[in-house]
Amino acid sequence: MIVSCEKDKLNNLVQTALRGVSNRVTMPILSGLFITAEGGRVTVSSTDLEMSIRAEMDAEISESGSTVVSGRLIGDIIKNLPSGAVQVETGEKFMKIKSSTGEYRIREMMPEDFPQIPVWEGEAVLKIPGGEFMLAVNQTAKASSPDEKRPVLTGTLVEKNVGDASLKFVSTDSYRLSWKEIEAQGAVADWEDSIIPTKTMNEVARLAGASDADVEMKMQDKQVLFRIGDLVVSSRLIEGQFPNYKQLIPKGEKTDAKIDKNELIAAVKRALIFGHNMKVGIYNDHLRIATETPEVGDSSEEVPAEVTGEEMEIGFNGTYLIDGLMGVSSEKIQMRLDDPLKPALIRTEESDRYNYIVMPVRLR
Amino acid sequence: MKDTKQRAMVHIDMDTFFCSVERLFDPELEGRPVIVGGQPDQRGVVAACSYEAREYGVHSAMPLAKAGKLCPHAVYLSGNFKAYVHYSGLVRDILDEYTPQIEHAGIDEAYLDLTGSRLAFGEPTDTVQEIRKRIADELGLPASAGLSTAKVVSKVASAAAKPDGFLEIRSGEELAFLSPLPVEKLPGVGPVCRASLHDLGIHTVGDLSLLPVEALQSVLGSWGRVLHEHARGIDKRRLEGGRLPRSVSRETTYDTDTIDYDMVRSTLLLLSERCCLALRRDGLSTSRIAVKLRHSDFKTYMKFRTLEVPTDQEQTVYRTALELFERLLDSGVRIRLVGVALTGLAVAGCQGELFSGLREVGADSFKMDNLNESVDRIRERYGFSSIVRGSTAALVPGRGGPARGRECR
Repeated sequence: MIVSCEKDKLNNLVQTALRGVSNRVTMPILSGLFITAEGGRVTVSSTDLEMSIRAEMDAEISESGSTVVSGRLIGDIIKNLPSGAVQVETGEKFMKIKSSTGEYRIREMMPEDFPQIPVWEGEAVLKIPGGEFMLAVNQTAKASSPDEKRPVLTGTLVEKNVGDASLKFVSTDSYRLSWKEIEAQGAVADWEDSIIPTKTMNEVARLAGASDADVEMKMQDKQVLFRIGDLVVSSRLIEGQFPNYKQLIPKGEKTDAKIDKNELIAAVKRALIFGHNMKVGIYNDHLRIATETPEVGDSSEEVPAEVTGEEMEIGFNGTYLIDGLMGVSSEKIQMRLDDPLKPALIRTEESDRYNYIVMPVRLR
Repeated sequence: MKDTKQRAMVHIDMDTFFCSVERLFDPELEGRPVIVGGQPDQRGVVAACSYEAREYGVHSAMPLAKAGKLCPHAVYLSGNFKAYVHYSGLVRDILDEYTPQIEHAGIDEAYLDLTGSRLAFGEPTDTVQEIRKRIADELGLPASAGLSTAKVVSKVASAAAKPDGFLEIRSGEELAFLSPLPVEKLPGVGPVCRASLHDLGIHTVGDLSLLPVEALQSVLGSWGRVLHEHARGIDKRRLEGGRLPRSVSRETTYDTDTIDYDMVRSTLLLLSERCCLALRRDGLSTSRIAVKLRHSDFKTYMKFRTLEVPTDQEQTVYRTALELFERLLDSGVRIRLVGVALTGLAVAGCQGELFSGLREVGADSFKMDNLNESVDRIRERYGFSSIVRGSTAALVPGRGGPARGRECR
């Protein structure tokens, strides 16, 4: 393999693929990047066996071939080279990187040992603007659980709604649940509802945010594939039944409050200094938020609100409130409540596209 | 005119508290040597002993077997901790009437700051006598007391006043009182410290007070400076009243080392229950759970886990403790001790769950909350052993079987 290209372009490619590298000691090959040069394209791939990243670019190829080298080493050296032309050449045991500054050799690993990475085949099923995809993930991913013992809760449910050609992202850790509905182009009816690891969703959102291209999605060989321009992310799916969340949606028959989003976030952040669980009193024209840690201190403050229905006092984990409020895109947030021991709804005012349902805390 | 601003620090110490409580239940124990902690053929130590037993050289923390040799004719009792806690609470109720400035230093001793109580109750000397009289009349328990301007002096004075006595050390007389006493009478001077002081030729508190502070510091570090002040009757410490605990832990040492791991698992459940009961009484929750295992060779192992959401429910604590235990367990080892410790304590609150049935145990956290609350109420009224889980019944004295181990705080 002999490849000539610009250092900056190669660096982008390598740094992108590096996000998928695994440092599992039991499989050293996964710490490597799989590099292929063929037909005028260089491909760099990585995988941790759950998620794979495959990035390509055009390059001048004098001799095709493939190899695996340590991701950390090639990443570090290419990043530190000056801009300009570089040449990458594989040999029997070492990959050679030549630049204006000198020549660097990296020990090669066996490309045959590297796991198969899915290659995108055929057409996309769905297409979503990158910015919208990123926003939707930012609004939902925080509600996912880090607890690997309950795999279903570490994922994001991606569910179709054929009626209005939309897609719903849903995450929950069983204490709160967040969902976002986004418009999708393409054959929405052909999409198979599935639970995608939230870690993958976050990675795709990050890559989408760094690119102008749309996010394209499809299922292939029981994996989900995302394509963003020249980049393909593939991931295993999470098996299991996502909790039935639809019957949870609070009706908000008792109490409905509209509050300035930034004022409320600031108040909750101040209250969090004095304790995690907070008492939220919802009164005629204001909210009162109070926290305390005995023998340490306490806080109490009021935030103006337009309240209809009954007054209510309810307890919340402040961190969960913040996560929910941050997802609201309007100036005012809407809060709907049925009972101090039943789920509360936080959403964007006059819109049902973003919904955050949080279970209250029973205060002592 | 008397100085009404002068600090009036009292140390109240119940005399042989456990034994005195036992004598309330069985007056025949009066005048006989009594040893609380277990039988002489059991492993374990003396938790308390009466003055009659002390005459034979028995003292607290001595192995029961040794006490058995020194004083074989004593009455040996396994102890009734529930009763001790109950009477300790009654003593506290009396103390609470005189000042809110109280530091409970243990189940049987407390410091009171009566400085501000003069207006309402008169001279501290009289107040202390009144308190002692009330504890004796209303509860039938003897208590000794020390009064001075400093915690350390009052503590030494109450010890010197025993049994059933009261000693006041007036301001300015501290040095004269402390000087002739052996150094080990000062709180904090244990056998090791005493030995190193003896090496320096220091035998009395007076010797200690005359030593340059630097010399003491070079031997004992920063503790040396504090001890030097204490020897001169100086103690600026205030009361540490009502502070919330930083951790809650319970552990059990088995009478004989065991390979019955199912029993150890049941013990974990019992310990989780007891820890959570203590948490709920203080209105706290935990976010960090530790399990401690000691093998028969005394090697001790611990594992921790931090929870996503803090809890005060034994269902969650036990589930986590069990996972930690399975990871700690090497099959074949004999287990001597098992313990559960909870840290990361904060104000309690029960985080509700959106979906029930997602966790292996405990369907709905609010339901669990109601259940625990009901059980707590029953136990508050009828005692801990009045309601127990089937799998722990064999471990709870008075329920289904003999106690298989001793539980300690």
